[in-house]
Formats: sequence, structure tokens, C-alpha cells
Amino acid sequence: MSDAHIEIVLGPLLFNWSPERIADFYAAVAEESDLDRVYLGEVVCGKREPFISGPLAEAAERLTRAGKTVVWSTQALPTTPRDRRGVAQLAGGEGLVEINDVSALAHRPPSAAFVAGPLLNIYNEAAARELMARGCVRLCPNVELSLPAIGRLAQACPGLEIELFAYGRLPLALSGRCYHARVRGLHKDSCQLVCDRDPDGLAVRTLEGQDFLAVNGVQTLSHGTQVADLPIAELRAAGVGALRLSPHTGDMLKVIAAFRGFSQGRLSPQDLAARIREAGPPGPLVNGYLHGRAGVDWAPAA
Amino acid sequence: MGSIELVCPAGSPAMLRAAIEAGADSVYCGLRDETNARNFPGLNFSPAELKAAAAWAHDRGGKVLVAVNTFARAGEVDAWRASVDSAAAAGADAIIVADLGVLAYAQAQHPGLRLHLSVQAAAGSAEAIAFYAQAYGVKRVVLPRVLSAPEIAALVRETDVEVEAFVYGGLCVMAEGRCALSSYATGKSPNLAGVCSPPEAVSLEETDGLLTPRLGGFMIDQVAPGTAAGYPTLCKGRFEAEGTASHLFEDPTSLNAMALLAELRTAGVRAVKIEGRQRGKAYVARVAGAFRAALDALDRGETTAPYEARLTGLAEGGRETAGAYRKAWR
Amino acid sequence: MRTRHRLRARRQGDAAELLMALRPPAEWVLSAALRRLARRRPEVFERLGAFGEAAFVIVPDGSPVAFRLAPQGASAGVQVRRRNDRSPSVARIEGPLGALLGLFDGSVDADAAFFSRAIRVSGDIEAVMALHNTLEAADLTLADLLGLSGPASQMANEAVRFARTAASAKAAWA
Repeated sequence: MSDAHIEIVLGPLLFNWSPERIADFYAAVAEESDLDRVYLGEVVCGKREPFISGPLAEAAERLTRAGKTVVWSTQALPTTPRDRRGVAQLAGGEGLVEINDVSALAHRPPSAAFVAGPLLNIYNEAAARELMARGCVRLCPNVELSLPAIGRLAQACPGLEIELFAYGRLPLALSGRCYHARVRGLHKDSCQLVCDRDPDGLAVRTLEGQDFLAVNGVQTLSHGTQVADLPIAELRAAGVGALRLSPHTGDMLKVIAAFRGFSQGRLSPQDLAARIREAGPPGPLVNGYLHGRAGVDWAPAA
Repeated sequence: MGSIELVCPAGSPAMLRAAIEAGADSVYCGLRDETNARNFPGLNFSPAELKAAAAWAHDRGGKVLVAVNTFARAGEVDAWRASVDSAAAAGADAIIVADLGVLAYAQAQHPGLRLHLSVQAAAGSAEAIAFYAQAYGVKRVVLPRVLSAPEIAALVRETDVEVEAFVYGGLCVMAEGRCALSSYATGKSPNLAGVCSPPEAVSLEETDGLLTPRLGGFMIDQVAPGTAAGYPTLCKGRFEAEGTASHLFEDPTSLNAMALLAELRTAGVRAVKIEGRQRGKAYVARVAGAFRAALDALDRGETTAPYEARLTGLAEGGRETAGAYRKAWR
Repeated sequence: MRTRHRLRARRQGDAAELLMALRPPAEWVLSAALRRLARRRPEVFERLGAFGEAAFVIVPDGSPVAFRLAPQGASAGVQVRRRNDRSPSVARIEGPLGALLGLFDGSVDADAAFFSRAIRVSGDIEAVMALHNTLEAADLTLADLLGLSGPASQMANEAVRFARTAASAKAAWA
């Protein structure tokens, strides 16, 4: 098991990119990257859905033609009737889906396989086993979990694949309120989709100018960029079978290649961090959660 | 349309007595550990205190709902199971739970114990509620504080599960239980440890009357001399975005939906809840008394208006909002 | 102005001297009361958890002296110190006497108590919260704390009520 293949997968796009940017991004990913799986779908805000569903469907076709596995992700905080219909549609099919809200479970055909996304609150083996009994085959744990906690969970859930949130701004919170609209003095219902101006999120600083968070519509993310740079043997020992990279601007192809090299033992944790810095991450590197510390901390591999 | 149940917070046996004496139908409380979402130092109940308090409340016709509503730590689920057992042994009328693993345990080991779905599970749609009801036999759901009053009415029509809604006290601006802002800054997860913006990570500096609260080193606000300051909860702080400093996430207001009680009652809400287990006897006596009077007035077919003034000055930061119940909040 | 300040400082200094001279009996009475309470109601102190053996310094505004309170442990008791004494403590709580007394019997709203800024806290905020929640939960009165009974107890509690009403009329509770 020590040299088992660790998958490199691309998480769902969390930001409101233009159709052109989406098309270009996934075209490059389809043709020029080495990925085991790509998640697609509007996870954050149902209001964006009508504008990006076309480009995402095209991306799915392109990725599939290029031999990549596509898995659709459900919305994390469905509220409107339209949001709820979207979740029902995705979750109601037999195909593999990523579930990001409990409401999707109500629509899932009995024991049809699904992935439990990081926005579900699964913190322990007992909760994970509840999902496994309903068809969960893979869990991307909540970003707050430390690697030892993930290891304990995985050990108690044989057969459950573990996918680690390994790159990108950490998805920290969801709200009924849209902060992009609030910052610009707009109401959520007439937000003009202003979140499209910030392809990696809108910077939130403290009153003394310290970078802290980033808002993305109803979502709040970290300013720092998570990089799971722990020794690959430790990741394997904790049961990690896949590394999830969250799409950002910057050179994502370089990020994907770096993680592939890292997962195969060709890049050390230090080399990984160096390559990521060259690729233009949206914020400084962080990995505190994996060490059981504040998420904002950075403890470089020794 | 029956009477609405008034559910009040109890951070200690003394506060539990104050709540019941002031007119609460039910109180909710937690054990003194990480298994409940108000795990502040010095707060909550020992198993023995819980048992005595439940007996005291039952003698007076009151109900005791025990919150075991944090998420269990990987490898340490037994501590949460023990809290469920303690609540059952104390004679709790229901337990309030969010974690799937804890729900499954309670259902299997204590089939007679009534299960309420905690607000920490943030189940805000008919589908989510239906899942918890079918899978674990949940009898009541505490609604997340992101829904508007018309949305609550629509939701009640779609579900058979009893609905409980917060009507007073501190507000989470994020979907409850789905917020890691505090742990990002401090390393302590509210979902696991039951404390948001934990006091051990708070520092307060005062220079020439200017108060600077920090959380995990991050400046949360700067409070001018002579201005009241709330507890430095991260999402209630002031931050800068687009060159402007503001209460980006939420103004320092607290929820007061007394004026919406009639609407909630018409919508079919079965119970209304007061936030604030950490706020003490004086607070709960006053809020419970005011809401008791308002609910009794509704039962008599009268308006709640005369009782709204009774809560003046109690709000954290001194300001109140009807929150998400009015859609403009979004 | 300056002379008057100095004068007041000297008077306060004199008062401090006087109070420091009277310290042993005061400390003895307060410490004995605290120990009696610990014996009579051990559950009160359980709430303090890890902070049971910590020392809190309580400084009423305008008072020339401070009180160093150690609820439990080897040095359990109350010591009278000079106001500017900076011997180690887990936290220092300063404020108008009435507001401080309000903390002891829980008649002041917990959140409001510390964050109205009528009361100023430095040191470990967690310890201060633990102390406050403990006192709030304990249903204590000043008389309990001083170990008084009968008419003396009633007088002490009346005095507290009066002091608090006066203080809260001034303080802007949140």
C-alpha cells in the first residue's frame, strides 16, 4: 500500500468566472493536464447557475472526450425553489455525484454511490458510517480536520476513499447574505452578479490592513492558500487517496503538475511549496488546519 | 392553532430556575464540556446538576431540552455518546442534536428519547428536514436563522416535523454549523469545541480610551472611547473591503422578532426560542417575562405591541434587528 | 489643577497607608468567609475548573487598595494590596464599586458586565469569564461572601443594592 496511486482531482469552480474564462480554463485542463477526476457544478450561488450551466456542460463534454472523469457537485446552501429543483435533479440520478448539503440525500436513489463534499459537516467516523450506509464511497473531509483526525476517521471506515482539500483558498463559511452585494450597497435579490469582478474572491483586511479573508458572494474563504505539503507517506498513512485542488487564477496547470509530481514522490514538500509559489497562488501558503492549529498558520515541512 | 411553546436558555441551574419562574415553558441547557455549543468557562451543568434541575422543572410543569449539539471529534465519539446517556438518565424531555453519528446513537440506544434537530445542523429546506425525520425520527427542527418569515410559512406547509424558530438574542450571520472563520484565526473549531471566538484567543488593548479587541492576533475592531463594545465575535467585527471599513458580515445588532410572533404563529411555528445561555439570570428573567406576556396576549387575541418596550436596552451592542425574517437583511 | 491632583494623590496615599495597616484583620475576615463558602458549597468552585487556583485582582475605582482573590488552592483567600501592586495574577478587573458588586450576585447581565466598558479587564479573558459565570451561577450575595448573617447580612446586601443602583444609573450598560 505504501506506493498506492494517489489521485489528483480538480474541485468545483467556486467563483463567478465569465463564460469565456470558464471555457478557456477547462479546455486547457482537458487537453494539457494529468487529472484523475474533475468536479463541475455551481456550488456557491444558484443565481449564477443560468449563466454558467452552458459553459460547464460544454466543459464536461470536452473533459470526457479527453478521457477525464467528470463528477457533478450539488449546491451547498440551496434555498430558493429553483436551487432545490437543481439539487433534486442532480442527486436524483443514478450517476456518481458530489453532495454538499444534506437535502441532496433525500433525493438520492437507495445506495446509489456518492461523494460527500467538504461543505458537509462530517467530523467523525460515526457520521461517516451513516453516510456510507447510504452509498457514500468517498469523503472530502471538512477543511477544519487535522490529518491525525482524518487518519482516525479513515481507519474506522474501511473502504471509504479519502480526498483531501489540498490546494486553494479554504472554503470557510456560507451565509444567507451576499457580501459582494452588501459591500457594494446592493440587495441580494438585485445583486447584478457583482461577484464576477473578483475571480479569486474579494479581499477582506483587518482595520490595520492585514490580509485576512476573501468573500465570494454568500461564501467566505481564507485569504491564505491551503497547500497540503505534508510528507506523502504521512498522507498515505492517514488514508488519503486523492488530493483535491480548487480552481483559481494563476497557473493551475503548473499547480496540477506540481501535485502530481509530489504525489508520485518526485517532488519533496519543499519543492511543492516552491512550485506553488511560482504558479501565482491567490494568497500566502497556509496549512495550519492539517497540523491541528489555526487554519491561517503555515508550518513548512521540516 | 395551539399556543406557542416558549423555549429559554439556561447556562446554570440558577438561570434555569429564573427562566421557568419568569414563564418559560421549556429550557434548554448543556453539560459542562465540549458536547454542547455554548461551552464557555464556568457555564453549564454537571450530570448531577442536570438531574436535579430536570426534577425541579418537571415539578413545575416545565420541560428540559438538553443540547448535545456539537460535532463529535474523530476517535472521541464516546464522549458525545456519554452526554446523550447523561441527558437520558437525567430525565431530559428531548435532546438537541446536530451530528449524524450522535443522532444515530441516540435513536438506537434511547428509542424513547425525543430528538430535536439543532440549529447547528442548519436544516433550512423541506428536503433536509425530511431526511432527518425519516432517517432518525427527528420530531422537531430548530430552523437556521437565514430564512424569512414567508419562507418559514412555506416550509411549515411542506413538513410534518415541528418547527422551532429563534426570536430573540445573538444572531449567527453564517449558516449555523457551517462556519470556520473562528477556527481559521484561532485553531479552535466552534463545531467541535462549542465555543466561537474563544475567550482564550481574545486580547483587549486599551490605549487612550481606544479599545482594540483581537482574536488570534487579528484586529477585530477598534472601539472609540466611551462607546460600548460587544464580545469580540469575529463576524461582528469591522473589516476593510474595497477601501471601506465596515461591519462587513453583520452589524452589531441582536435579533428581536417579538413583532413577528403573530406572523410566526400563523405560519404554524410550534416553539420560539431565546438565545443566550451565557447571558445570565437577569437577562433570561426579563426576556422570558416579556415573551411570556406577549405570547399570552396573542392567545387572548390581543397585540404584542405593549410588551415590545420591555426589552429595550437589553440587546448586545444596543441595537436590534428582525434579521433574516425580513428579506431586506440579505 | 496640578496641586489639587497631587493633594488628592497624597490623601489617597494616606488612605492606602491606613488601609494597609488595617490589612490583617480584613484579610482574615474575608479569607475565612471564602473558605467557609468553599466548605458549604463546593460545587460553586467546581465551575472555575482550571482557574480555581488562579489569582484575580479586583480594583474598585477610587479605592486606594485592591483585593487579590484566590478562590481555591494553597493560597486560597483574599489579600488586600496596594492599588498599584503588580504581583502576578491571571487577570485584573477594574471598575466602579457598584458594577463590580453586580458581578458578585449576577444581577448584572453577563455580556454587558464586561463589555460595557464600565468594567475594564486585562489579562486572561477566559479566566475572567470563568469567574463571572461561576459567580453568576452561584446565587451568591455579598453577605454570603463575607459570611455575615442576620441583620448584618441584610445591611450588607442593602448597601450593595444601593451602590449598584447608583452605579448603573451612571454606567452605560450595553
